[in-house]
Amino acid sequence: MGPLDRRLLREAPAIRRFLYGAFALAALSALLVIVWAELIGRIVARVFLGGADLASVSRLLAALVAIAALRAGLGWALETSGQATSRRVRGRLRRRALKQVFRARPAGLGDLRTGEVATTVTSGLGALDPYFSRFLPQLVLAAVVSPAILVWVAFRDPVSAAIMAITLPLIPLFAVLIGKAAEERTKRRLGALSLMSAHFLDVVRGLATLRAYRRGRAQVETIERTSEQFREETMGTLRVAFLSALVLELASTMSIALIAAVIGIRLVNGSVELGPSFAVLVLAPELYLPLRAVAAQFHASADGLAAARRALELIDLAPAVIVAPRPQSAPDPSTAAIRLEEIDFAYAGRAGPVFSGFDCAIQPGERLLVAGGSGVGKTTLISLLLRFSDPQRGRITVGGIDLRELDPDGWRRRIAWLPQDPRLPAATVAEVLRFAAPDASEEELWAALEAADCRALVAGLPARLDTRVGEGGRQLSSGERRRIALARALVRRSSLLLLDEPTAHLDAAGAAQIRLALGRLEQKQTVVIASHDTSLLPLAERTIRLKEVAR
Amino acid sequence: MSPALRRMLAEARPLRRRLALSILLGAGSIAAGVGLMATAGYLISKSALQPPILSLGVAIGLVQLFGVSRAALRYLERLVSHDAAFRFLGRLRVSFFERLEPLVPGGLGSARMGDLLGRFVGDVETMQFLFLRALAPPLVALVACVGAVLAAAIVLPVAAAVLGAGLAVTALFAAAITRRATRASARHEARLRAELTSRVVEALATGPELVAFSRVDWELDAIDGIDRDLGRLDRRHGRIAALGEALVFFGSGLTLVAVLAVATSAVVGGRLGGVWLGMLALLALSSFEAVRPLPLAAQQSGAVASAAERLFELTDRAAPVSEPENPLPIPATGVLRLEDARLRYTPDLPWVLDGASFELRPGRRVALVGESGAGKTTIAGVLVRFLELDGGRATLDGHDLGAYASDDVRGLVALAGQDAHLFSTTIRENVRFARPGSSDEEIAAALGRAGVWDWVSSLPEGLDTYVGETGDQVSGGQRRRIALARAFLSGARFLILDEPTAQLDRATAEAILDDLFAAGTDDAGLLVITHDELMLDRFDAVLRLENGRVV
Repeated sequence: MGPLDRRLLREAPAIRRFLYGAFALAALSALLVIVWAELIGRIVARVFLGGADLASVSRLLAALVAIAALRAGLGWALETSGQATSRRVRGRLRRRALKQVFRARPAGLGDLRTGEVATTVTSGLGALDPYFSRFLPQLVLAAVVSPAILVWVAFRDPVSAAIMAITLPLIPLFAVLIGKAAEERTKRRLGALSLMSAHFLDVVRGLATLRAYRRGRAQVETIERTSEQFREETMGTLRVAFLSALVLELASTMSIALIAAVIGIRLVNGSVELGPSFAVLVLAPELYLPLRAVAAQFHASADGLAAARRALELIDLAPAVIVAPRPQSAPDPSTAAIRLEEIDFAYAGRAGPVFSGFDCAIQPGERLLVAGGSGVGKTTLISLLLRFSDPQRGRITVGGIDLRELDPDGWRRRIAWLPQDPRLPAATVAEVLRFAAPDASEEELWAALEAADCRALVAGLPARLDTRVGEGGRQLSSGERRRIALARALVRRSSLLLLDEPTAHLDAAGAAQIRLALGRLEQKQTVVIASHDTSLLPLAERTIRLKEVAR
Repeated sequence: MSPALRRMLAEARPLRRRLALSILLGAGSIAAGVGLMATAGYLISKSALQPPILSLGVAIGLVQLFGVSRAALRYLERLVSHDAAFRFLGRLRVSFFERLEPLVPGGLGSARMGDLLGRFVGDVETMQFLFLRALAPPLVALVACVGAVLAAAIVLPVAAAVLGAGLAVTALFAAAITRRATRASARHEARLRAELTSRVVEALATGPELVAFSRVDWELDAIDGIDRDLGRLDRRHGRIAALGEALVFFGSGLTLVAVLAVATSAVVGGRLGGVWLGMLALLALSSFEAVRPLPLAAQQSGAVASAAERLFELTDRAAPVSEPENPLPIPATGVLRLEDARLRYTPDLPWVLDGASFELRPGRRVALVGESGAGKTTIAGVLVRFLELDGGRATLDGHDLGAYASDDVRGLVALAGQDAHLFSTTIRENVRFARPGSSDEEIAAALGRAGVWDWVSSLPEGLDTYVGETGDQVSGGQRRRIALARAFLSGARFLILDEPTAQLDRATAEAILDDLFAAGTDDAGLLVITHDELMLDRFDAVLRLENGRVV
C-alpha cells in the first residue's frame, strides 16, 4: 500500500497544502533536535570530565528548557494541522461518495448494502484521523529529520554514521516488504469488519421476525462465530503487521547498542571525545523514532485509508443515467405528450425483459390507469418516467424531445410521485410535506392535506402541522402514512403526477376517499396511476393493461 | 471510574490473566528500553576514563541483551493485548445481543434502526479500546515508572526523587487536562456520531424519494451540518489531545534538566561519581516513553465510558414480557382466548385494547378487521407473547399465556407480521429458518402454498436466489409471499397472518386465500388480520375491532 494515494491527493487538494506546512515544521524540528543533543553531550562532558559546577552549565540547562518548549510546540502544530486536514478530507469524500451513490442507484441501493455504505462514509472515513494526524506527520519527519541527523552525525562521527547508514535503509525496506504482505490482509479485515456490521444490522433489524420463529437466541452462535472469525482474521493481519514493527524495533535497538559499543571502544583508544560522542548517542534513538512511529501508525491508519479507497470506488460508480452535456430544458407534460417508443428494458441479473418493443403515449392532461398483475412492470414504467433508469433500446420523448436530452433534475421538478412504499422522514408534518415543495405556504399545505383526506387527522394532532410524526413522534398507521405521502405528492405543483398503487394498505373507506380525492384533481395535470385495484377504473380516462401490451 | 465502566470491566473478568500478562510484557519492554539507554550512557562515560577494554564486557553484553528483549517483549505484548481486546469484543457482541433480544420488538419504544446500528456496531466496537488504550497504558506506565525510579534510586536517591516527581506530575497533569476537557463533550460527541450514522442510513433508505423530489443536495447539506458540529468538537478534542502530548514532551525536557542539575550538584559535592551522570540523564529521558500514551488513554477512557453508558442504558430496559419460573408444558392444541383484554403502551397513552374478547379454536378460520390503528397488530403481538396485557386475560387451553414459556407459545402460534423482514441471504434460507432442517421439497411446498413457487422455480438460481438487503431485489408482493411461506413451513397449530394480501393484486390475493382454505383439512386455527373486506365471506367468523373492543 502506497503511503500517499495519488487519487486521494487529486480528490482532496487540502492534503497538498498540509504537506508543504509539515515539511517546513519538520525542517525546524530537525535543527532543534541536533542542538538539543549537542547541548546534552556538552553538559555531561563538562561536568564529568571538565569538573564544571552547576552555575557554569546553568545557561546550557536553560537553553535545553527553551528547546524542549519549542519542540513541544512544533509537535502540537503538526498534529493539529493533520487533524484539520483529516476533517476536510473526510467531509469531502463522504459528500461526493453519497452523492454518487444516489446518482448511480436512484431507484434503491440494489447490490450495495446500506450498512456497508453507511459504515464506510461514517466510522470508516472517521478512521482517516490517525492517518493525517499521526501517520503522515511522522512520515514527513522520517523524510526530513532522519536524513538530517544522519548528515550531522556523518560530519561529527563517520563511524557511527556508517552504522546508522547501514541499518537505516533496512527499515523502509522491511517496512515495504512486510507492508505488502499486510496489505491484502488489511483489505480483507475491512471486508470482515463491514460484513460483520452488515450482518449484525441485518440480524438486529430482523430480530422481531426471528423471535416470532424462536430463532432469536440461535443468532448468538452466528454472531459468536462471525466475531471469532473476525478475531482470527485480524490477529493474522496483526501478527504480520507487528512483525514489521519487531524488525524495525530490533534494527533500531541493536544499532544503538552497536553504536554505544563502538563509541566505547574508540573512547578507550582515545580516538574520539566524550561530548560529541554522547550527542551521537542521544541522537541515535531520535533517528529511528519517526521511522518506528510510521510503522506503529501504519496499521492504525490502514483502516482509514482502505475506507477512503472504498469511498473513491463509490465516487467512481457509473451513473444510472447519462446526463447530456448540454441538457435542454424540460417541456411541460401538461401541454406536451409523452411517448414511449419501442422500449426494451430488462433489469441486470434478472431473467427476461420487463419490456420488449413497448409502445405507449400519454396525452397531456389525461388520466391514465396502468393496470396489470404483480410484477408486470407497472413500477418499472414509473421509474423509467422518473428517469431512475433509461431503456436499453427505444426512447421516451416528451414534446418530441428524448428524455436523455433533458437535465434529470429539471425533468423531475415537473413530476410528483407517490411511491408504492413511501418512506417519510421522522419530522413534523410541515417538514414532511415541504420535502416535496420547500417553499409551500401553510395554506397550500392545508389544501394538499384536504385533498388527500388528511385535514381532520392533522387538525387533531396536538401541534397540528408542527407535530412530529413517524419514529420518535406520533406513530402513523400505514394508511395514515400513505395519505400523508399522497398529500406530499399533491403539494408539489407538478404537471405530471405518478401514483404507484395509491390504494394499497387502505381500508375500504380510506380507498374510497382516495378515489374521491383523485377525482377532484385539477384537470391540467397529467396523471399516471399504476394499480391492480379495479375500483380505480372509473377515475381513469383511459386504461392500458400491461400484461398484454408489454409482452 | 464510572459505574458503567466498572460493569464493563466485570464483563472482562474471564480475560484478566491475559490482561495481566500483557501489562507485564508492556512494562518489561519499556524497562528494557530504559535499560538500553542507561547502560549505553554508562558504557560511554566509563570508556572516557579509558579503562582496560575487557572491563567493558559486561556493559556491552547488557546493552545487546536489553536491545533484543526490548523488541521481543514489545512484539509479544502487542499480540497478547490485541488478542485479549478482540476476545473481549466477541464476548460483548454476544452478551449485548442477548440483552437486546428479549426487548425486541415490544420493549424498544421508538428507537430508530439507525441508532441501533450506531449504538451496537459503534459502541461495541469502541470497547476494544477499553483494554488497548484506556486500561493498559496507565497500568504499564505505573509498573515501568516504578522500576525506572527504583533503578535511579540505587545510583542517586535525590535524582530518583526528582525523576519520580517529574514522571508523576507530568503524567497526572497531562491526563487530567485531557480528561477534564473531553469528559464534558464526549457524550455530546457520541450522540452526534450516532446522529450522523442514523441520518446517513436514513438518507440511503429514502434515496429514491430524495432523487425524485430533487432533495439530494439538501439532504447532503443536512448531513454536512451534523458533520460540521462534530468537526467543531473533534477540533477541540484533537487540540487538547495534541496539547496533552506536547505537555508530556515538555515535561520530559524539564525533568531531564532537573535531574542533570541535581546530579551535577552531587558530582561537584562528591556524592556521585561523574561516570554516572550520563547514565542518569539517559535513564530520565527514556523513562518518559511510559508516560507518552497517557493523554490519549485519558481521552479514550472518556469515550469508552460514555459508549458503555449508552449500551447499558439501552439494554437495561425492562423486558416487555416476563418468563414464568416453572413454565407449564405446552399443550398439543387448545383454544386461544382473549378475555376483556386491556393494553396501552405507556400510562400516558390511550388504551389500544380496551376490553377486547374473542377466541380462536383449532380448525377455525377467523378474520379480524378494523380501521388502521384499531389495535389489530397489537392483538397479534399479545397472542405470540411479544406484549403483555395490562388487564384481562389471554389464555391457551384455559391457562394464562404467561404461564407458558414464550418460545413454546411461539412454536404453537406462528405470526407472519406486517413488517416481516427478509434477510440478506437466499430465498431458501429466508424460508428455512422458520423450521431449521427442512428439506428443499418442504420449502418448495410452503412457497407453493404462498403462491410463489412458480416464480421461484422460474428464476435462474431458483431457491439460491439472493433476495438483496432487506429483500430489496424482489418485488413487494413476492416479499410478502416469501414471508408467508415461513408461517406455512413452521408447522404451527395457529397461524396469525397480519395483512397477508396487502400489496398483492386481487387474483394473487384470492389465490393465496384459496390455498389457505384448500389446505384447511388439517386442524390449524387461522387468524387473518386484514382490511380487505371483499373476501370475508370465506371465513368461519369475522371479528371487527373498534375502539379497542371486538364488536
